[in-house]
This record gives sequence, structure tokens and C-alpha cells, in this order.
Amino acid sequence: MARRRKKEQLSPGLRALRTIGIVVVLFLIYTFAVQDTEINLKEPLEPRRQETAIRVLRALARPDFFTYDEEIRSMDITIRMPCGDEIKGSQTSLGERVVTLAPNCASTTQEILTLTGSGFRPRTSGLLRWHPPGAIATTRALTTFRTDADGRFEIEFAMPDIRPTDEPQRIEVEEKWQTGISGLSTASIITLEKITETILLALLATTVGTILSIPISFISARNLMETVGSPLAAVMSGVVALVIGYWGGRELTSLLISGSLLLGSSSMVQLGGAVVLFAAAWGSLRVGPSVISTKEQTTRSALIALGRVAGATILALSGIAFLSRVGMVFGLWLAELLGPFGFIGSFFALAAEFFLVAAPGIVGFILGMMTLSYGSRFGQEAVLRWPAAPARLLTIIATGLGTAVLVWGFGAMVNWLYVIDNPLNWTLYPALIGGGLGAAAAAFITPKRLMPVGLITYTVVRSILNVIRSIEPLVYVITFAVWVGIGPFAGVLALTLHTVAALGKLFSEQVENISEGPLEAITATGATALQRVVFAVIPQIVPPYIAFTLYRWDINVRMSTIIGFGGGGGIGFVLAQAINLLQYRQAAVMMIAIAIVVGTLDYISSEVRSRIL
Amino acid sequence: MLRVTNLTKIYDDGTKALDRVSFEVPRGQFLTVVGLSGSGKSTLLRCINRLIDPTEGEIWWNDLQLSHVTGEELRRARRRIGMIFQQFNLVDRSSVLTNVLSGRLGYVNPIASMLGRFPTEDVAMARANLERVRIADKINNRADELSGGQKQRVGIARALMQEPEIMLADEPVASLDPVLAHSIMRQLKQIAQEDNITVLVSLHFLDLVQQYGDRVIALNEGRLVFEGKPNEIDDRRFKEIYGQEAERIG
Repeated sequence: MARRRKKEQLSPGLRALRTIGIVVVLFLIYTFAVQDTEINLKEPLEPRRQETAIRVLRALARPDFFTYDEEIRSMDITIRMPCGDEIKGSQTSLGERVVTLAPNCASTTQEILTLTGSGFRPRTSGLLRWHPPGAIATTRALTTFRTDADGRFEIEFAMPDIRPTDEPQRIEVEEKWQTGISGLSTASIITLEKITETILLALLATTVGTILSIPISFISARNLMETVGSPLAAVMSGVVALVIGYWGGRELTSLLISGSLLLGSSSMVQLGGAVVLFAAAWGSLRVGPSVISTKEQTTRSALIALGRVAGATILALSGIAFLSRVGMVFGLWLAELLGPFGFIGSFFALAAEFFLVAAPGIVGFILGMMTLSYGSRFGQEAVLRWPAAPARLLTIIATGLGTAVLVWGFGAMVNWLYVIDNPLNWTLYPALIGGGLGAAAAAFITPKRLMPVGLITYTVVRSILNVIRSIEPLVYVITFAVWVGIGPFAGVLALTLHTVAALGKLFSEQVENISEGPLEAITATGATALQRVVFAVIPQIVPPYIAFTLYRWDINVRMSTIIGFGGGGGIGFVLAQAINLLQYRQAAVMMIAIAIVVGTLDYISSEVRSRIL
Repeated sequence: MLRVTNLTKIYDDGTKALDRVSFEVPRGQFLTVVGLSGSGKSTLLRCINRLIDPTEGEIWWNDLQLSHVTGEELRRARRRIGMIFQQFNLVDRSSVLTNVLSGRLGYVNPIASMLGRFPTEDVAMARANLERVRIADKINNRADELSGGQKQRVGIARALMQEPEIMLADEPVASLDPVLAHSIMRQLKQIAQEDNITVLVSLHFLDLVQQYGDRVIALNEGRLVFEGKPNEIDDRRFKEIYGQEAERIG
């Protein structure tokens, strides 16, 4: 029953006073906010800033999409430097075009000259160019002009420099206009290239992030976790088993991988080895009764099946190790062979290399999870079935060992992170003391009492997700760029990390929102925890999971457009460059591309979502 | 034989849902449980298959102390206790066949079942049970395409897959119209007799109780207020069960 605080009854006077107080406080907060965010009118009203802003705005309004064919027409007028005794104007004409320069001479750089023209191409930009005298032919731009609707213009300018000569000097009046599009501008080509990179970056991050976040969402769903409880002995034997499993899996896989070099490094031998190993793995699964018997199994037959699966897994793993050696060579060869589709070959080479590097850790993790499951199951069943004395003994031993392992791990981490370099004082002794204390404490605990492991896991995972989620990918990318270098790879990692956290939370909330009825019904049939997830939870969460994945892909595309500002590759990287180089017309192209892509994806994903839900 | 002694359930917020309830049910009996909403009927049924853990008291099922088993043993006990629900509790987006097969989850190899593989005998059994509740033609439909009465039949088929010794039915017909209600109750009664299943069914309406129940227990605010034959409920006892304000309508 929800207990709500009883609402106090205030007299009207007090209530009015309270309202006034709230208004005053709000007023103070907002006025301070205005000062704190430096909102002012001085800077924006300053003419120079306004001019700059308008110039940027106008550049942005004319995105540099294309290159154009141009037509240029020019005519000359002469000028004297310095002025003679008599100062007058001069006029030249060429066809319909007439230009008048008054005065037609300059003695200082302060004198204002006026050039008027008529009969030019209407509404066309032009340039005034001075050909200074001298052996080297150079020109200097004097000013620009733009003709009106009748083809007239009038501009004032001053000579930037005075070079006295006897002869009149030439000033060129040049009109320039575009006759047609001749192709895409460099900015457009870069934009296309980078926007593709951006979309693909978001795609990879979303895919990997979604896959990782699904299992996380189950262990961070309160309704699934809060019922999970285990006796202390089960938890602690799980911890010990996890460490043993991880270590064993890692060492075994490393051994298998180095074993793949035993036969020499010839690709044909490697390939042959892989084929033989795969055949052996397949055979060990196929010969004899089916490994995945659909019936309930006796412990004996389950153990035999487990042994066969383990054997097949070892064979297959070393098969993959052999294949990876070949794969690296094959991939590089294929990359050269395929030319423009060389990326397929590079992918194989990378995948093979990734396996060789990451397999020990991954296999260790998986095996660790399995031994964790078996270890805790053993601990649980033992404590629940055995008589009190052995159960207590098991609890004490398991807790001692488990605590020692945890303390050892934590100590080793601190020792490494802070470069203390004193392993004995930070691992062995604390582990012995911690284990002893843990065992002593366990002696006072009722062995069968259930520990809220589920709720603890839930709280820990949720907290970690919240911390990861609260930091923007832009911050992560700076860190990742240090590790993997500036570029899209860093962006993929940053977005993936953020996606895992964000989707993990969103997904787990969907799990929490499922209707409890089917879950209850499946529980009542005697299903195990995993069966409950597969049969009652997953069917209910498929539509929202798809919807949220699309939504996230949408967000990731948007984020990947700015992640380049932090060194994460994609369109943001070149956009930041363009802005820093004051190339606003190029920047405008990129901004428009971002708007189009984000808008389109937004539309597509909302369409798909509305169809699924 | 199911024996409940001094069963008490106090929820975390302090609500006392069951207060020292004791009764016995012999094998094969069709026991009805009546009482107002909130009288503890659902809690009682859920304590028996331990969807809810009782606070105090004991439940014995033959030689098994059902109130105190845990882990693997609890799972093994649950698989012989079928349950059907007022809201049917089918998995809407799964097929009727999958829903029915999920009744076997306690018996099959967990890994194989999660890969969607069930023994052929179990699939045959699912078909047989769907035929038994006369809905075999819907076997490949999605569960949310069925009507209420059909859903409850699937719910019964699912419970039958457990080869239950005990069947718990939590207001199985409260969401159905009177005609369907009778049809479902008849079916339940018939199956219980044929398979010698002990049934505990909670019901709202006395006419259903009197028509189908071998015996009746009544709960009021978590306490057992009546135990006996359905036709022994007269006007005075009725008011004890349902309160002084109540009028007999059924």
C-alpha cells in the first residue's frame, strides 16, 4: 500500500506567502541564469560582428555543390601614375560596353577614383584588375562590382600602391558569369564519401552494440532478477568456478592457437589440418546418440554429452586456429585479386587475425560463464540437500576461497593500475586474510539462507550502465582516438560503447514492461530460469527490441555526424575542418547532407517502427 | 493427498492475505474455493505451486513438504502441478502448438527445448491434448488470434501436458460469458475425473460451485470461514462468506 504524506492545510495568508516566495526564488534563478550564460546585447549589436555574421550566413546560403563552366569578358582602361598637371577623366568603349574612369590618374593611395560602366551584361559580377608595370607580368585585384538590371555599375576605389611611370598603365575590367554546371565540386565529392562513411560507422556501432546489449538487458531487468536468490555457498563456488573456467579456457585456447604452428607454416598443410580437425569434430558429434537429446537426461548421459561437446569444441577451435592462419594469407591474396572488391579479402584477413588475438579471452569468458553456472548449481543443490554440518562446512570453504579470489583479483588490479609493483602485499596476503575473514563470517550464516544475488547483479549492472550512458560519445571518442588513432574506427568504438549502455537500459525496461501472466504460467510448468526467458520473455520483447534498435540507429547516425569533431571520422571530421578554415560554402554542403541523411533515416525508421508495433 | 496446515502469507507491505488456513484435499477431488476479490483465493493457489512463498505454515503433498522445497526439487514438484488462469496467460505472439508444448518444459532437456526441439512423443501428445479440448484445428494459429474460450482451452491443454496430479485453476471462467463458462467447467470436471486429477478451482459464482464442486472451502479476508459440501451453503453461511450486504443472485 502506498503511503502518501498527508497534505498540510495552510491558511490562505501563508499560502499566498508561499506562492510569492516561490515566484521570487524562480525569478532569482532565471536572472542569475541569464548573467551566468553571458547573454548580452553589446556583442551581437556591434557592427563588425554583424557584418561577419552576415557574411558567414550568406556563404552558408550558397552551398558549394557544383563546379561551373564560366565565360569571361574583359576590356581595358588606362590610368596615369602620378597625375600630370591637368586632371581629367577618360573613357573607353568596346562594342556596347563603355567605361569611364574619373579621375584617370592617382598620385597617392588615398585618392578616390570612380569607375562607371554601361552596356555590360545585366546582374553580373565583375572584377577590376590592375596590371602593374614591370618585367614580371603580375596583376592585383582592385575591387569587385556587380551590374544592375540595365547593365550599369558605378564603384569607387583607391590604388593600393603607386608605381610612377611615364606610360599609362592598364586596368582590366572583367565580367565573369556561369553558363552551366560542369560537375560536382570537391566539397560535394568529399561530402558523399564521408557521409557514406558516417552511415556505415553508425551501422556497425548499432549492430555490435545491439548484440551486446541484449544479454545485458536481461540481467538488468528487475522483474527477472529480483526473484533470483542463491545460498552463499552457491554464489561463492560460482565465483571460484568462474575464475577456474576463465583461466582454463584462456590457457587452453592459447595452447591450441600456438599448436596450429606445429605442422609448419605452409598454407596447404594448414588447410589440410583444418579440414581433418573439422571432420573429427563433426564426427564426434554425429557418431553415437544425438548430443542434444530432447528428453530429460540422467546425470550420466548429460555428462557424456557434455564431454563429447567439449571434445568437439576443442577440435573445432583448433580447426579454426589452423583456418585463421590460412585465412590471413588467403585474405591478403584475395584482396589483391579482387581489385575494387578487395575489401572482402581484407575482411577475411582481419577476421582471421581477430580470432587469433581475441579467441583466448572470448573462449575463457564463455567457459567461465558455463563453469559459473555449474559451480553455483552444485553449491546450491549441495547446500539444500546435504545435512546441516556438511552444508555449513561447504559454505565456509566456498566462502573462504571465493573471498580470497575476489580480494586477490581486486588487489592485483590496484597493484597494476597504480604501478605499486608489490604483488605480495597486494594479492597474496590480503587474499589469505580476506579468505580467512570470509570463512569465519560464513560460519555464522545459515547455509540455506538465500542471498539476493539477482538484485545485487541488477543494481550493479544498472549503475554501470547509467554511468556509461551519462558520458557522451564525443568524450569517449577522444579517449579511443588515443588508442586506435584518429578516424572512423575510434568513432565506431565510442558509439558502440554508448549504444550498449543506452540500449541495455531501454531494452531492460521493455523486459520489465512485459505482461507477467505468461511468465507466471511458464514458471508454473517447472521451467528453468533460462527456459522462462526463452519461452515467456523473448516472444514478448521482439517488437519493442526491433523498434528500439531502429531508433538507436537513427540516433547513432546523428551522433556520428558530430563524433568527427572529436576525431572520430565521418562527415563531422571534414565539417570541423571546413569550419576551422572558414570555408563556409563547403561547410554548408556538409550540413545539408547531414540534414538529408538524418531526415531520411528518421522517416524510414519511424515507418518501419509503425509497421512493427 | 494435499494437506495445508496453518498457512499464512503476509506480503511485504504488511497485508495479511492468508491467515492460518488449514484443509485437506484427497486425491481426485474437485475442490472449489470461493470468496470475494481480495479474500486470498489467488494467494492460496499460488502458495501451493510456490509462485508465492508462504510466510508460515506447511503444505504437504503426499510425502513432500511442498512449502519448503527449493531449487531443482521445486521444479520437479511444479511440473506435476498444472495451472490455468483467469487471463489465460498464453504467450500471445507464439503459436498454439508452442504454447501447449511449453507445458513440457519441466520434463525436457532444457538446452534442446531452447533450440526449439521437442521430443516427437511430446508433439504427438500436444496434438492429442488439443483434440481432447476440441481445438486441434487452431494448432498453427498465433495465440492472440483466438477468442477467450479458445484461449482457455489452450490453457487447459498446456496444463495437461504436465501430466498433472494437481490442477490449480485461478478463476478460470471469470473472463468468459456464462455459456462458455459452463462449457469450460464441464470440460475441466470431465478431464479431472478421467485422469484422476486433484483440482483446486477458485470461483466467484455459487451456481458454478454447486454444479461442479465436490467440496467447497470459503475464504474471507484470508481466513477459512466455511468448509463442506456445496449445497450446505445456505443464506446464513452465504452472508458469512460474502458479507452482510450481499444478495444471492446465482
